[in-house]
Amino acid sequence: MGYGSHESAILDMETIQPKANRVGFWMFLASETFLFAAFLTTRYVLSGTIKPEHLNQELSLLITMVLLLSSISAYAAEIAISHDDRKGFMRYMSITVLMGLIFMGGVVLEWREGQEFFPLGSLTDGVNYAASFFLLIGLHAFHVVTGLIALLIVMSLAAKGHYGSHDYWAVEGSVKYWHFVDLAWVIIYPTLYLF
Amino acid sequence: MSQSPEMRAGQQVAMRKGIMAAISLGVLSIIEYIIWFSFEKPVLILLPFVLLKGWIILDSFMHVKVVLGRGDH
Repeated sequence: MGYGSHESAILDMETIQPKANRVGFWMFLASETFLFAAFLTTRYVLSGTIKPEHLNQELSLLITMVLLLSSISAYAAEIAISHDDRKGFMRYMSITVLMGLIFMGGVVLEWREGQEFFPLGSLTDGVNYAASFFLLIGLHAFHVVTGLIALLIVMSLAAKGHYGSHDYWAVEGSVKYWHFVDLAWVIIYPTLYLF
Repeated sequence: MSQSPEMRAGQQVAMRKGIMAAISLGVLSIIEYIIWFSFEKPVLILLPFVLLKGWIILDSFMHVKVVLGRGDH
């Protein structure tokens, strides 16, 4: 039985739409990359590779590991829903959100310590570094929060029966965004703490 | 919704790949920390590790090769 023009148009859309979604999403990520790149560059222009001695290296390494671990649970959630394992999806997504919240807790501690070392509004020797520090940590934290909101939205929709092995674009998009947040931190962490 | 054995096997293979990538990222992060601890000017030594970590995330978790037209998702 052949398809009519309406049916073939629907089939075309089903084939084309996921590809269009992916291309659009990667273009969005490219624009986000420019944003982060601009502020990462600012750090090097303002203060080179000079950094204060009293940064909390242990805390930053710890939250880096937490964020990296959250990426594997996010990946596991995406794999689970793409294989119709809804229970696994909910479990791994919950772990991802929990790790994201732990990461945010660590960021709040970093921020408070930063305020002790670089009081806002003061003109100390480290003011250039401090500007980059608060800007990059704050920008990244904002992305973590929006990533968490996206993950919570797909979780609540999945709990209502949405998504399956043939329809999980929203999960894929939000999980990819989470990986991007992780990727950004992989660059921000050495920029602020190690270089 | 129950899974077929093929789907379960496929899920396990994908999970193994993800776990390997995560272990690599963790090990590289610890190496970065050790390098920072051991060298006074570690920028050039750290750079390849940073780039490698970035590529692992792009390749293993974000499937960038699909967008580049060189892989399956």
